[in-house]
Amino acid sequence: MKAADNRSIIFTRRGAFKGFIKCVPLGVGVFAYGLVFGMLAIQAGLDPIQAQLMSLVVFAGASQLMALELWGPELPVLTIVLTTLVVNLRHLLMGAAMRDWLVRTGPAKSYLSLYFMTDESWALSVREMASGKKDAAFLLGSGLCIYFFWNISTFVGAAMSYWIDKYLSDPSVLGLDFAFTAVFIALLTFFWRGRAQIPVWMAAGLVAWITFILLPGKWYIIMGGLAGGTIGAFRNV
Amino acid sequence: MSDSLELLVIITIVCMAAVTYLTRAGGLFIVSRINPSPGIRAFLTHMPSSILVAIIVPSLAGKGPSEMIAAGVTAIMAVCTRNLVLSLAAGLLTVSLLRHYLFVQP
Repeated sequence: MKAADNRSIIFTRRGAFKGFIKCVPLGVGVFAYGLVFGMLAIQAGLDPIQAQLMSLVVFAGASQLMALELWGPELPVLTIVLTTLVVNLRHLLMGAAMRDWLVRTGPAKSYLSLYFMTDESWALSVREMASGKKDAAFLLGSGLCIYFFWNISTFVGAAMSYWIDKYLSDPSVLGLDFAFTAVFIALLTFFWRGRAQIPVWMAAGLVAWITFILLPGKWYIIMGGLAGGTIGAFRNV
Repeated sequence: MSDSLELLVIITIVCMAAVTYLTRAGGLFIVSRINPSPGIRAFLTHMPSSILVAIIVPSLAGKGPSEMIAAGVTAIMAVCTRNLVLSLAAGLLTVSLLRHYLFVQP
């Protein structure tokens, strides 16, 4: 991109509004996902205020769900934080990809916009940027849209879970003990990019399974992730 | 809930928020200095889904036919609809029906 193009990057309220509106259909999908998070957070032992705080300050769906999986009376703080870091490493590449907009926007606005960057809003924004649009506030607006839906749905989900708990003492009756596994299986299918994925996932599964048998705690998650990532790296070089 | 656990919960959430923001802001910070090699790029691409696999496999190991079939139904539903909530509902419905009527646990 030419320097002259970069200099013409703008950051307007109108651009943010456009990003917000364009992201609403994706926000509705996120809303459903947030309901699941809110309900599972209560099942995992968080209270509604803690669940809401997590959605307000962490604001990253997959890592929030994984934190719930690790949640317990003896909180494995380091494992949860490390897992969160590892799960969110993809943001590094996504943020780097927004360079053409953000380098000329000014650090305050850029780093504020990045706080609200999600997979969904990023995908819309990077397409907007690639099509030659100049208003970098689109990233902030679309991110705020996801933030709005994510937090409202966390609240509703947590409230619904309380209601369900009141009438249902044994979660296995409705198969709710299977909910975590089902959520992760569904999420996994969204990552399918073709047959090259098979050896990566087999390595991840095998190493995770062996670590699960050999080591206590939840190290199998990190070990499996590192194994899959490493196989992926070697096969793609 | 005791006060010390309450505090630990807050610390955990704040640390999660800190590392998450680090990853969101870090890409822009680094991008002008280092260009990630194709290997690192591939590593980062494949890690999130590998972590999902690593969670799923031990959670299914040692489970019965109800869970295995429900896992398959969830996956098929997810591939066909690309909708998380529909897939979750299908999986939960399947597992509860199978446990009730087919593979009743003693």
